[in-house]
Amino acid sequence: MIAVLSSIILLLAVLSLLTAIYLNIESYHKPLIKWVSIQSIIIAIIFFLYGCIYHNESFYLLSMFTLFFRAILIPIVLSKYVKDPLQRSRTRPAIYSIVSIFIIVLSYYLYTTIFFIFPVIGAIPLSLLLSGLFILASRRSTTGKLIGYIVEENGILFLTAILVPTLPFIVEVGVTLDLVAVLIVAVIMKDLKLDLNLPELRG
Amino acid sequence: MKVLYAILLILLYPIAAAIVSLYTYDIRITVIFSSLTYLMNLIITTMLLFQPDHIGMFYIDFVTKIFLLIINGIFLAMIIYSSDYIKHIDDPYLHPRYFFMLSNLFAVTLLFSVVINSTGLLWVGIGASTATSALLVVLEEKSSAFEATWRYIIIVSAGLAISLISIALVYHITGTEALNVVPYSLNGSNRILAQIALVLALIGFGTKFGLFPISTWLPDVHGEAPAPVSALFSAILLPVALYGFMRIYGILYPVSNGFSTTIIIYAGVFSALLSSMMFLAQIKYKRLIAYSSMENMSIALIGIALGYYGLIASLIIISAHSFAKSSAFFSAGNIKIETDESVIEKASEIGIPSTVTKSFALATMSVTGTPPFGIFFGEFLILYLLVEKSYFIPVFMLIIVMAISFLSMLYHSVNMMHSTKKTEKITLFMEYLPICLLVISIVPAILWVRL
Repeated sequence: MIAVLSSIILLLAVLSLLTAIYLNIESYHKPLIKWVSIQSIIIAIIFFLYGCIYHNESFYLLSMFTLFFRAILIPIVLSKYVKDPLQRSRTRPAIYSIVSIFIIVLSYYLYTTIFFIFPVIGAIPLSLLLSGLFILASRRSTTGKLIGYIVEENGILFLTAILVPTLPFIVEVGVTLDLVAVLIVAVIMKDLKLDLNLPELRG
Repeated sequence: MKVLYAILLILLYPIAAAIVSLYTYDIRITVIFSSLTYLMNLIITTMLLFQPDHIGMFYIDFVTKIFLLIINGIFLAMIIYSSDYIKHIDDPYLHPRYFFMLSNLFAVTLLFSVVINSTGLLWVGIGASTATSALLVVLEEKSSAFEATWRYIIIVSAGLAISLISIALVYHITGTEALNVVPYSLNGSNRILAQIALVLALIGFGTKFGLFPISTWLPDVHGEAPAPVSALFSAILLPVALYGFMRIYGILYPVSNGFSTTIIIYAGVFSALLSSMMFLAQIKYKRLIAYSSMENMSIALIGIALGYYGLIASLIIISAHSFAKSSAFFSAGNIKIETDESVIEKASEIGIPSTVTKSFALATMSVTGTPPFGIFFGEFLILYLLVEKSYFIPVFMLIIVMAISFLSMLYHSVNMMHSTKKTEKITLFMEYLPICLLVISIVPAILWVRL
């Protein structure tokens, strides 16, 4: 049974990686929001399956938390502020595809070098993490940056679940609450359409 | 048990102050209540100094007590200064009651971070401080402040997420979240993991405590936020983030070899060098002080890597830095009110009142490690320890850093000292508070000399 669940987790992990590649390339905000929600659903299912493997209630709770906040609430709030289907952050698909593949190879190399005592599946969340950082760095719009931040945190949560399955639930919840707080600040500032790069902040 | 109750009170008072701020429209009542909160907390913390260390749900040792004194002291000064400063902001983005509520909540997250006996919750506290402090930056409703806030939120949150991996590794190595754990029995692979955890903690917490060049948000936020908020960020937020790294290092120090220590020392030296090189090019006085904060924190980081006496040196620098830097930012706030300019040259042309420039110049001298201010003694001790441990290249680089920062600050300060004007807009209290804080910044040095 555990072997079957582990195989399903591996399959879902690969799917989450494919969503990260798509998110790296996609420039329009509407599909970005939809696909980050799909990625979060995949991560939530993975946590649920980990709960079945480890018989740990924290994973079930974390799965529900991820599903509610990352897959449903945050995308709904973001969609509310991104009404224009043509709203986008410019990307370069050809270059970003190559960058995505480079990130995956680099993640695998780094993971097998640094975290060699842990299961090799951890290279996938590390790849999500680095993809999230790349999206953060490459998008100028606040919505694009928020998407990057969610991808990065999906990777972090997934990675910590692999490295330390017994890490207290409250810490994992703290990660999600941090994300929610960021979103609240964004909404209060009413600046989800902000295009960042003001000359006053140079130097 | 007494210590436990004392800590609970220290945490509950600011929560009460936040609630009072939210429901009180009369700012005077908010200011009085919040000031009394931090005054009470200061009294309780002073009493705690004479109590033994406490280990339980909270971890209270000498380091924690110093941080409690700094946080409560600076918040007391900030609340009183803000009560006058906020009157000079035309059409603020937040109503003052929200400003004070968020300030008090910010204090809660920082106090929680320094007292809690859990690496995971320490991380949660430092993460939460980002959310509670972000909106304080946009009080003056400038587009540049909005962008600075965004940079702050995104960069710091992304950085802190990396430090969570470090905390997960610490948990894997030690099997507990407690801060007072000493991992004696480690096999070879765990030793390597401990070193990786240290490096990740350095990168993660470094984005928040001002490690150059990963803290690119810092000069933007310090430059665009209102002066009292900049003072809070520089004087408390950065040291508390450094405290997070200090605790992780404290756990892993017994198992990390000299390699990690060397990495931390060189990271600190390069960060100090690069940030000091930015001094001379600055045209805005608040950004100038922001880069100085990065330099101070980098030197304090070197101290942490140097063991027990290095930690003492870091604590001297951190405590002196907190009071001197808040003094500098309050002086900067006074300049802004008097001239309505944030560019050094333009403010000088308009004419800055002489008492304000004098306090600004003294504060900048203090933060560059000029005797008799506290930072000088901390830096001197770090140089001594580096020589003792044969780190000659870092010593040489640090001397260059000190020379560059002192000369650059002197150059900018002298450029501002032309006018003989008298103050027109600021109150007597706002004028002399920076001087009082500067006097306090000498106290750590006096204590060090006595010790």
